[in-house]
Amino acid sequence: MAFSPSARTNELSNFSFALILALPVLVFLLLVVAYPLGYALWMSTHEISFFGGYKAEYVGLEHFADIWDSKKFWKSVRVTASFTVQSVVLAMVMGLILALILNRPMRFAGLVRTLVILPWCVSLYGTGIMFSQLAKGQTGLGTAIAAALGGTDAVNFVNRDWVIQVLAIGNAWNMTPLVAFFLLANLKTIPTRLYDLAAIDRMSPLETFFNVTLPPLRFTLFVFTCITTVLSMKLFDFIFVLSGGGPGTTSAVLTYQIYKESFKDLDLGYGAAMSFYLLAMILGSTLLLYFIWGRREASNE
Amino acid sequence: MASIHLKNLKKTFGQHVAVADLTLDVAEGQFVVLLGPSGCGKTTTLNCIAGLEAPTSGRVLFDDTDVTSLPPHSRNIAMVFQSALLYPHLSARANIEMSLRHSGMSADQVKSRVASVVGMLRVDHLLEKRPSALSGGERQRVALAKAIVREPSVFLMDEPFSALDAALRNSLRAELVHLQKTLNVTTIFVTHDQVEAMTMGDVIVVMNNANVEQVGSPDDIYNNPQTKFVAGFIGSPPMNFFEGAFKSENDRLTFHTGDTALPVPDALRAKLDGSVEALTSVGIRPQHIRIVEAGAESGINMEVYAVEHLGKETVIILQSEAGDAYRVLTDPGFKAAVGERVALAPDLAHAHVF
Repeated sequence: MAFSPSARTNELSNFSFALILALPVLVFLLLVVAYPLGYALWMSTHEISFFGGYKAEYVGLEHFADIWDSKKFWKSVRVTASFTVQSVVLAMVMGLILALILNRPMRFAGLVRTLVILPWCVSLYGTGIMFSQLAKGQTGLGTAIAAALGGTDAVNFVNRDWVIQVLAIGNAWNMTPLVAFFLLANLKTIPTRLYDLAAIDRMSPLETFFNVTLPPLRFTLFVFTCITTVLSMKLFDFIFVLSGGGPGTTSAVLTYQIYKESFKDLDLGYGAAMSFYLLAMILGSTLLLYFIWGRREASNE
Repeated sequence: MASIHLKNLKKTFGQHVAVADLTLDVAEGQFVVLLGPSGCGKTTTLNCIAGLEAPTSGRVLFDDTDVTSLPPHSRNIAMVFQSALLYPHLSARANIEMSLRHSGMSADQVKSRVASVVGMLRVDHLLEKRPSALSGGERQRVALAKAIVREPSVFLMDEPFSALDAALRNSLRAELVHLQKTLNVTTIFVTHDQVEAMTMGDVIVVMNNANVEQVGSPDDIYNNPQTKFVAGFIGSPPMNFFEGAFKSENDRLTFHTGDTALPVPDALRAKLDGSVEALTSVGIRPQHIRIVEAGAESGINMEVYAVEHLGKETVIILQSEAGDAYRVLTDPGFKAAVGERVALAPDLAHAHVF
């Protein structure tokens, strides 16, 4: 590298200076992002076997083609999509409601805000254990409520019909506080006089919401829809702890499927190829969000 | 057009009294300015008139109709707020039309009404822009158009010009007075700026600490302030106050302030009635004081603190030995050095005694 100081001024150009400042980060990113990504790409085009000696045989795009034809894969895509949509809708709606409640004048507002942010501080692993206990038949809320109402049967929600909803609720529980706090920050910027103007203009509460409250939130809503979408699609530990992809494969999202193929069935190449499908799905859905929603909001700013 | 009558209006927030007991009659077509420092209750009063806040007690009447319990939109008012409040996501046109949404007018009627108002305020070229794309002055014009298009019987304005720069404020001030006189709509204008109040109001209501200090025309308020607060609040540069006592000796009346005894002219003597011995405060406007040499007889010794050249006149700011500031208006040519010792010779014929 040639950071030779200029002969005339003995000073670095702006670009050189920026490069020197950024160098440690660039090296770090190269190590933790570029290298694993490249390695995964290499794996996805190889058949890797461990037994009878480590072997890696080049297979081209065979893994990608196999995955495309796999029913299990498309089932996982559907499960991922369903889980993501439910998580995101729940987190955004609950976040908005929570923000609106927190924005009202109340006693002990500081204490209430502290309590509300707490779910966000719980690790996803912990959240998984908690919601698994809450939803299971032996320990869960369902059984407790049924018993209180005089029932005798255990009510288990970790079943084929409800496991995705249980997962989405737990995931949303964890993400909602962050959404709520960013929306609350936006709500605080609305001049209170704008509500007076709405009253003079004879707006109904609903019209006031759409004309006064919502406009400054819309961009944040878009950003957090993207963030929660990405977080939900790449979520693994929480699902691993809560349902382990089950019962059967009803909650086997893509991340779980990748884990299973790579580390249980030890088909690293196949798993790596599938992780690129996940990457494509994440990129595709955020781009789609941007084109149908974000672009409009950005031009409104 | 409507006349407005406030009857014993009172508004409290918990223990805090925002408006104590306000009775005020505003005639049709009058431009009334509520003037006072922040926290004096002027905006709360305006909110009660608008119906945005319910008074704790007392009544609000428009003409003979009691509107105390009517919601804002049923009072046929229009309001312009500080910093030109508009819906940020709507175009200027949509903002203006929002005022007519529940008027029951046809689309054509709305269109022609908007067209005439935007012409009047010269905002026709701004209609498709959003508020964020408008300058402060343009936004305020659009906000005015939004208010006027309703053809309300009362205009309520809450410091609409306070966020604008001085030059813009000047031109909008004249424009608003002109519009108000042309449309002849009863207007209540809230401000803390006494220049704004003096230049625009037919009637000024000076408020302080939840109470009305004085109601009167600008001339009346300036020339005959009823309280020391009004005297000190109105006028720029502000009035000077000398603390002291009147003493009567051998039929000669003098005003003693510090070590100085000033003879009281007959003009002031006529205004004083009996209570001349008491400690009192005498207010004199900056233009009624001359600067004389230090040590002169009947002069109050001071030091020059600062000099402000305003072109058509010069303001000399002086500091007394006690550290109080006094302001004197002089001719533009007046020379004074900071730190120079001089004396003040107030013309007691123009004094206000409190």
